[in-house]
Amino acid sequence: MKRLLILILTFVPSAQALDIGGSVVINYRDREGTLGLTNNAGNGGFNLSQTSIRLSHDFSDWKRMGVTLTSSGGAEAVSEGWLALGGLPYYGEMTIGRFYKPLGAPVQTLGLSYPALLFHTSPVLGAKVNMEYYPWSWELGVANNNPFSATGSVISGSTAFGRPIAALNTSNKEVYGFLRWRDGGEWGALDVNAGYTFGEFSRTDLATLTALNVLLDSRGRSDRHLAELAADYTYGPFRVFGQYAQALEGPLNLTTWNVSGSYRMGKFNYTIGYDELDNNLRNRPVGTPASWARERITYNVTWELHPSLQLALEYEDNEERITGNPQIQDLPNNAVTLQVLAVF
Amino acid sequence: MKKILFGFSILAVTLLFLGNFVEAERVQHGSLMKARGVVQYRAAGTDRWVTATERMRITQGDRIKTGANGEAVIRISPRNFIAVRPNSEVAINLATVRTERTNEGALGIFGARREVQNVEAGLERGAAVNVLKGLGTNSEFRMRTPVAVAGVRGTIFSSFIDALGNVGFACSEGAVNVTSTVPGGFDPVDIGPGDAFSVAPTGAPSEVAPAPPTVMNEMSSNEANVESSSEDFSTTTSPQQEVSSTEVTAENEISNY
Repeated sequence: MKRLLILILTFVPSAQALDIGGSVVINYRDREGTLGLTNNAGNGGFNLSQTSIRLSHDFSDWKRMGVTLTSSGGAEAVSEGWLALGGLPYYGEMTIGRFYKPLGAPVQTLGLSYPALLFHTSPVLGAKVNMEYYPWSWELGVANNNPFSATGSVISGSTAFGRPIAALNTSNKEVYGFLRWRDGGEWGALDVNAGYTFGEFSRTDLATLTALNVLLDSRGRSDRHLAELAADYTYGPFRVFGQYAQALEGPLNLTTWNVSGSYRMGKFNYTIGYDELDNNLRNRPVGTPASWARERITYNVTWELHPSLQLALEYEDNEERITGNPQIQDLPNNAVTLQVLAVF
Repeated sequence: MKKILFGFSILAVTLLFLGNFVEAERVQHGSLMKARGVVQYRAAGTDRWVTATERMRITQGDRIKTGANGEAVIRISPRNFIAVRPNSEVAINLATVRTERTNEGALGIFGARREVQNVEAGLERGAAVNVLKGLGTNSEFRMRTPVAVAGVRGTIFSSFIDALGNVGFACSEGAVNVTSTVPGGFDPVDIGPGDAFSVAPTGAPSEVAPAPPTVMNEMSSNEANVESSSEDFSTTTSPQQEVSSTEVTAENEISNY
C-alpha cells in the first residue's frame, strides 16, 4: 500500500494542484456491556474518534487519483488510495487500488446508525469498473478481501463470527457485482439496489481454521457468498429504508436485516430503526469460538448546525446473545453516543 | 477461482466495447441530492410548485426554489453540482449529453468514450454555488442571469443577484468567462480564482476585483458540503467502524467457557 501511495503521489505536480478535504469526528460514548459485538473502547468520555484527510487530483479528463489518510484510535492508515481511468461508456471508470465497495464509503451527513447494515465496511484492495446511465448505475469488481481477518466480516463491520485469526493473512479474492436503480419525482424518490459477492477460502485457510476448531470439518463448504438487497423511499420529509443481507461463509449462514424510518424537520432529522443479526451456529462444541446475534432498536436525532458541522445523539437498545456453547442469552449492551462531525 | 477471474476479465473487456457507437444527444437527468428547510420544485411545462423530495429527478426545464431557511444541492451529473442558497431560484434551462468517441484516453488500446455535456442553468434570484469537477473536454456549463452569462469548465464559482438586481460572480477554482446578455454590453471578461465581478441591472460592468472573504468562505463551505454529501467523492468517516483488538479479546474470553 505504501508503494502504491508513493507511486500515486509522485504524479501529482504540486501541492497547489491537489484538492484537499477531510473530516473530524469527536465522540462521547457510554456503552453498558464490557463484552459485546461492537466496540467498547473509549467508554464514558469524549475522544477524537477519527480524523481523515482526502487528497484528490485530476491529471486529465481520463485520469484522476484519490488518497485518504485516516487516523483512528491512535492508528494511522491509508484507508483509500486509488487511480481511476476513464474513457468507458456512460461516465464509466476503471479504478485500481484501495477503495470502498458500493455503499461501503459512509456518507458523513447521514445519521450515525442510518442505514445500519452494509454501510461502513472496510475498504478493499482491488480493481473495479463502474458506470452510470440514469437512473441505473452498476459496478463490477475484484477485491482482495480476507473474510477471516478481524475486519473481514461482511455484515455491518462487526465480528459476527469469532475471528481471532489476525495471523491468517492469505489473500482471498472475491468478485462482486452491484446494481442500482434510483429515480424520483412528485411521487417521491426510490432507490433500490442489489449486490452479490462471491469468494473462496484457500485450502490453507480451511486447514488452519479446522485445526483451531473454528470449522468442524475442512471438507466443508469452502466458498463464500453474500447477497444483499436494499430499498430506500423518500417522500418530502419522510423516509423509509429497508435492507436484507445473507452471507454464507463456509458452514456459517449469517443473516441480517434492518428497517428504519426518519423524519426531517428543518435542520433536524429524527430516525428510529430496528435491526437483527443472526446465524445458524448452535451448540458448537465447548472451546469453539462463539458467534454473536443481536436485536437492536436505535433512536437517533441529528442536527445540522451548518453544512459543514453536524451534531448527533443516538441511543441503542441493544440485546445480544452468544449462540455457541454455552449459549448466553439477553446480554444487554445498550449505548448512548454523542457525536460531533465537522467536514472541510 | 481462476475461472471466475477469467470470466470477469472477459466481461470487463466486453464492457469496453459497449457503446461502440456515437450516440445522438440525449437529455441528461440529474437529481436533487440534498434539500433542507423549504425547498420547492416545479416540473418543466407546469405552473405548480410542489414540495421537493431529496433524490427526486431534476431534468431539463425543471426549477428549484428555496425559502428563507432553505438550501438545496442539485447533482447535474457525476461530480457536478449546483448548491442553491436560501431565498433563491434556479432553473435548468438545458441539460443534454452525447457520447463522443476519441482516440485519446488512458486506456490505450481502445478509443475512449467521452461524455460531452451541455448544461445551462438560470439563476432567477438569490445565489448559487457551482461545484463542477466532472466537466471534461468539450463540455460546457453556463450560468445565465438577467444581464450576464458565465461560461465555465471545471471550476468552482458562485453567482448571485442582490435585492437591487446587481448580478455578481466569484471564482474559487478554475476560470469563468462572463459575457453580457444586454445588447451592446461589455466585452467578455475572464475571472480566475479569488476574483469577483459584478454587473448592474443596466448592464454596466464593474472592474474585476478580489472576492470578499465571506464569499470565498461560502464557496469553500459549500464545496465541503457537496463533497461530504455525495458518493461521487469517496470519504471515510466510520462512526460505527471501530473493530479493534478489544473486541477480539472479548471473543477469546468467551471461548474459554
